[in-house]
Amino acid sequence: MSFYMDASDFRQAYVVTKNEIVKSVRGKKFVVSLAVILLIFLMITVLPYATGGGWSGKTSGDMLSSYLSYISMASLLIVALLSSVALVSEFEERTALILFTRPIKRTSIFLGKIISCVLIEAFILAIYYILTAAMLIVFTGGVSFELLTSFGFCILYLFAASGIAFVISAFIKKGSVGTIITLLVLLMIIPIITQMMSGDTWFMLNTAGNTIITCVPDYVNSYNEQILTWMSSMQGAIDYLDTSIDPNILNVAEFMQSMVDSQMFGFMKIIEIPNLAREAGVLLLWGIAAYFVAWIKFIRKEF
Amino acid sequence: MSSEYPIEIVNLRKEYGSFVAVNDLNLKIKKNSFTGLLGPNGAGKSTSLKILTHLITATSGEAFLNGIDVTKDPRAALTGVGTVIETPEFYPYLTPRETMRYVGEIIGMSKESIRSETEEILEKVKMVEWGDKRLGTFSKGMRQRIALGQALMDEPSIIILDEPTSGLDPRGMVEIREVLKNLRTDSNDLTIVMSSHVLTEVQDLCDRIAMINHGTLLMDDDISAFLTSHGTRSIIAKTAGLPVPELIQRIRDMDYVISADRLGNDIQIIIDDSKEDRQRLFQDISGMNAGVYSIADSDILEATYLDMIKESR
Repeated sequence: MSFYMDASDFRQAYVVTKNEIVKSVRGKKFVVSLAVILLIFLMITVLPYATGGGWSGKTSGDMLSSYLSYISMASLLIVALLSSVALVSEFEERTALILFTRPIKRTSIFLGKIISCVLIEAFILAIYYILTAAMLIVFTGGVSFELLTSFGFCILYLFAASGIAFVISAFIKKGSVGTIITLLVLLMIIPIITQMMSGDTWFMLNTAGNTIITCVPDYVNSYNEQILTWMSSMQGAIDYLDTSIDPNILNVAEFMQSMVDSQMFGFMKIIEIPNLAREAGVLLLWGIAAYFVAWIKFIRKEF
Repeated sequence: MSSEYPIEIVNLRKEYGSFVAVNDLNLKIKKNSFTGLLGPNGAGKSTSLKILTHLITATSGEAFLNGIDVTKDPRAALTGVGTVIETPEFYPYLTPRETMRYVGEIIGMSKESIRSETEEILEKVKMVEWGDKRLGTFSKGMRQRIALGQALMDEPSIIILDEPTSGLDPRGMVEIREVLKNLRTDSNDLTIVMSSHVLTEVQDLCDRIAMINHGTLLMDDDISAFLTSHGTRSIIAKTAGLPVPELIQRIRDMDYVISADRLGNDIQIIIDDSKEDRQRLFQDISGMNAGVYSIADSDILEATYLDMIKESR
């Protein structure tokens, strides 16, 4: 087991990357991923018109809060579809019998697979970002630089989430099982663990992943405005109820007050722009640690 | 390591828990030979070949390809080696030409060499007209021809084949054998080792045989020497009904008969490999008037193979 790679190892990793990209782009999962992204974009764009509203007169913050809200979930779906099968498919589909018997280090194969997965996933999400930017230009006359920062964090999130998918892919024997487990881990297990933790959870994958949206000030301001509006109307209602002498109504007022004080039990928190460097580091570390575990398993896996 | 033996296995051992798949195996494959690796299921043939091709790691021992130990430096050892392990699958969205290019680029061939060799190889495996169709639509036989084709990229000096015709229909088997036969005649510097269960295939293609059972080598010799080393011939006598024990005993009692046993509905008779003895047997059995309607050579390789496997149990 060696980390050492020379120039020809990197050349071979490049060859694997190229092949993996061609293979993926021609595959059904790529088409499905692209369709998922376009469907999300289409729904967000068209549904306001279908319900009698529209995008005219909306602020950049309003638009971003709609378009970016689903980006992390969409990222995870794409990672589950593409990255979770990257390693296991070589064994399950018996293509390893061709590739692994060639004079190439498994580390080069592994590296090529990481790069191709992240590139393809980033490409799919880049389409979403370009379409979002186009909508912003059309309806608000411009697009903020922070959208690019958001895309940068999206790539880091893809890198980290792909790492988790690679670990699962290295250990299991069936690609379909890998996809389900990846979805379960990324969309349920990690968020539940984060929810159960007390205090600031900046080091958790999903919290750091939220930086995709919280790094955009327009989004943060718009979101906080909505929360403050909600809290203020709640407070108005509570103040009114407090004037009552009926103990039952006072109980309701007390309960509503606790909801406001706890920011809807933590579900409607005032958000801040996080420490971007720290969150970028967290995502990188999650990715590197996960890829390391997956690499150890992958290079030792026997056919 | 001697250059006379491009493939050399030294004290190779592979354990899966308490099960020993390869038991301190020693084997040398002669340069420019076509060696058939024989043995029953679980004998350790595939495991040994998978260690040679770095698909699995050995528990201990060494396996040299062109003098380089694959267990220590697999990348260097596998340079100049083509492999077809079982029936491999290809990326279904690639075409044969793209697959060849992929393999060629991994090996480090130039674009020009890849292009020219791909055409040459597609010609060899008779897949030129399919070169730009996606592999996902190919039959098993066609995919196996492409598998053999990719193994030929960069003119390897060693080809390792693990049951290359397994799972193919008779036509597919014949096609692969044809390609392998042509390989032998086309190349002067090519060492091939092939494991197979099909004894006629081994007899047809190989010039040497190595027999393995329980992970150890039973014998390794030229096929001609192997077939005559026992100096015996197996004859099958077919009777109208089930062969009666008295008939078998009468045959056994003949002074030149080594053994006679019931083999299903037939009688297997082992005699010395001489024309005189065969002639005498034919005359004697005909004279018995015991309902024998056919006397013919049985598959010698099969008989010898079964004998050796039986002995090694």
